[in-house]
Formats: sequence, C-alpha cells, structure tokens
Amino acid sequence: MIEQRDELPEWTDEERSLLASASLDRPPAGSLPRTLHAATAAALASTAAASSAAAVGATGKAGAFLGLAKPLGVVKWLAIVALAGGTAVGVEAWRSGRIGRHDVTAVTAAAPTSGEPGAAVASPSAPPVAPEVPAKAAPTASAGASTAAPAHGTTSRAGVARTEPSAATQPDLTRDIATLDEARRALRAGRPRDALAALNRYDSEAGRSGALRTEAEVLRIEATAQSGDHARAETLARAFLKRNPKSPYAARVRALLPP
Amino acid sequence: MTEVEEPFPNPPAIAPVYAAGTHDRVTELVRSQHDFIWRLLRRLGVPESSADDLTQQVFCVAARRMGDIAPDSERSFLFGTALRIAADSQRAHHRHEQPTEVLDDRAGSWPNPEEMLEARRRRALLDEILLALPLELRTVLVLFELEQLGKREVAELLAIPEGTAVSRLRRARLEFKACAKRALLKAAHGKVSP
Repeated sequence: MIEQRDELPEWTDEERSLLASASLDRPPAGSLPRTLHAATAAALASTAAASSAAAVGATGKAGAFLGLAKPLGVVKWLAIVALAGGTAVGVEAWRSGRIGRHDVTAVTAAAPTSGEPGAAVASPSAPPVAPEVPAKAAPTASAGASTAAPAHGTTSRAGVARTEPSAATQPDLTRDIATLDEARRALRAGRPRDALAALNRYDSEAGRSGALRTEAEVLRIEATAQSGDHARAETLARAFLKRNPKSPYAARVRALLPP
Repeated sequence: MTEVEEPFPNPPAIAPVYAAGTHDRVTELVRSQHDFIWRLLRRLGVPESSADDLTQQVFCVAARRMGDIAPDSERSFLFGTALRIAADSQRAHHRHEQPTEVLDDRAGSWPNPEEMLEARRRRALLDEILLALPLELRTVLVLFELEQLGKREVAELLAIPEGTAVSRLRRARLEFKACAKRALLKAAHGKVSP
C-alpha cells in the first residue's frame, strides 16, 4: 500500500502477533444503535435551534429584544420531540437494566462546537491532533434525571464484564436537553431569572464544554436581554459573535443587537 | 408588553425538511464510521469501560456541527474530534488504570479458552505498549498498522505531508519495537498478569 514500507523496520512474528491481537477488540453489539440514537437526538436538538435562528431572522431586528418569545416555539416543539424520544427509550432500557453506559470519568467533548469557526475544523488543513482544548471535568451530579439517552439494543453479553452505570458520572444528553428546554420555556413565559437559573444548572451539570454549550450560551444572551440587562446582553452577544462569526447562531444573536 | 401566546410558527413546514438531510447524513456517518471511531479511541488509550460513551460524544459533536462540515470532511472531522477526546480521556485517567477486560464471545473464532486467553494477554500487552508511545507516534501507528490506511489518507487525516507521515511511522515502529521488547521481557518475568 505504501512504497516506503520496504524501508521501514520490519516486524518480527511476535510483534505481528501483538498487533494482530487488536482485532480482538470490537464494539459490543449495542454500541452502534446507542450511538445512532444519541447522535440523531443531538442533530435534532441542533436543528431545532437553527430553525429558531431562521425564525428570528425573519422577524427582523426591530424590537428583537422584546420579541424573543415568538420564535422559540419552534425550538420548544422540536426539543420536546427529541426529549420525548430520548426519555422514552432511556427509561425503558434503564428499567430493564440494559443500559450499557459505563463509568465515565470527567471527559467532555472537547471538540469545537457549532459556535466556533467552522472552516478550521471541518477542513483537513487544520491539524486535528493538537489537543489545544483543556480537559475539563463534567461532573453530572443530577439525581433524578439520569435517563441516559442512548439505549438501544442489548449490551451485556455473557461473559462481558461491565461496570455498573453510575448516575453521578454519566454525561446525559437527555438531561441537558431537558434543562435547556426548561430555560426556553422560562424565556417564552417571560421568566428570564428562571431561564438563567436553568442555564446555570446546565453549566454546572454539563460543564462549559458540554455538548449543547453553544445553545446554552445563546439562550443565556437571550435571557440576559429579556431580564432588561441590555448592556450585559450586548456585551455577551458581541463576544459571542467575535468568537463565532460563522456560527449558525450568528444571525440569531445578531438579531438581538440594537440596530 | 403583554405576551401573546403565538401558535407555533408552522414547524412542520420548516423543521422536518431541514432535519431530514441532516438526519440522513448523521445516520450514514454513524453507520459507516462507528466501528472505526470506537477502535480508534480504544487504541488511543480509552478504557473499554468508556469507549462507548466517548464514541457517542464524538458523533454527537459531529451531529451538532453537521451544517458546518463539508461532505468530504466528515471522516476527518470525526477523527480530529476523536483524537481530542482521547487525549482528554488520557489526561483524566491515569495510565495505571487497569483496563477492563472483556471476554470476547462473539466471533466463535477462539477454538479453546487457552487460545483466547493468550490473545487477550497479547492485547493487554499491545495496549500497554501503545500507551507508552507518544500520542503523535501512536496515532500514526494505529492508522497505518491497525486500520491499514494508506499513507495519503493518514496524511490527510493528520493534516501533514505524506513524507512526514511516513517518517513518523518509521519512528513509531522503532519506538514500538523498543517498548515491545521491554514489555515482553517484563511479561516473561511475570510482572504483567495475564
């Protein structure tokens, strides 16, 4: 496959045998369905927010600070769909003890999220190796809401040693969606303080680099604006736009700025 | 201003159409790349007990970014994300964490328990050796030797010139050999439990 392999140091039989042993390691049966479920739920949540951005764009800039509630309906509608699906499956699997989620110690998705300059990451020209994002703990110490989203298929097989799922250490997309939905509901109902409280909870549960971090950030800007602290909202919005000029949320955030 | 309850702004007209393309792309991506990412995370040092969760994280990040990812950059994006997550995972877990042993009963390709045990012992050694390599070399080795990718693809994934990829592979092989020698010696002296 590569010409230069000839010039490379040759493997001994023992080394080959070591390398070949990697083929022993394969994802368990339920892994793909669980990932599929989690990823499609994340896409749905993200799509909902993007639709909302489009709706905000349509309402125009005038009166954007006051007109926040209207377009949030789309987000809510879709988030509820996502949440309902995730929760139903999660609960079902949780009850039957088939959830294959394991202890995860404080690892968060350190990859760029939708708010960050897209081209740099999506293009192969950006060296993807550099782990420039610091590792961050994602303590998820929520009690009741631990219906882990991804949970299709059977996971434990005979002879497969598994760690029991621990509610305190699981990243929980369903819970995070629910928290953000709560923030949206509060915003829609004109309760910015409650929205901010939900967002604070999201930050502490999912961490600053949680999977829905960008959505949370945008909601925080909107809630701050609705709370009447326009100066603070404007500062946050400008900082967001500076960091994320190409984000799908940019239009939504820009619409919040005074003309 | 009094808030007026608006009806939903016709969500079915916007959302499902928007979502359909994304949903299909996400589904296709998960189906085609799931096992690659899972194996990659494992060989980059993610313990078995976390591999599922971190694989999900990789795809969730990609799903959220789908609109920003060019269709021909999807694998590259997943790869870059997986590398970062693996690096974070390694910082979070210490290397001395005991790997969770998983008995493989799937393939039926292990005619007897002794052979399976031996294969598992080798895999534990492999992980130990790989973990001893710097991430940069480990990544190249895993892609070339275990995933059997071509030099061009490896270079593209790592965003480095092909020549650099090959020279890294050379260093990786040498380093692997040295580590393997030490690990095998250690195992022979019974310091590594099977």
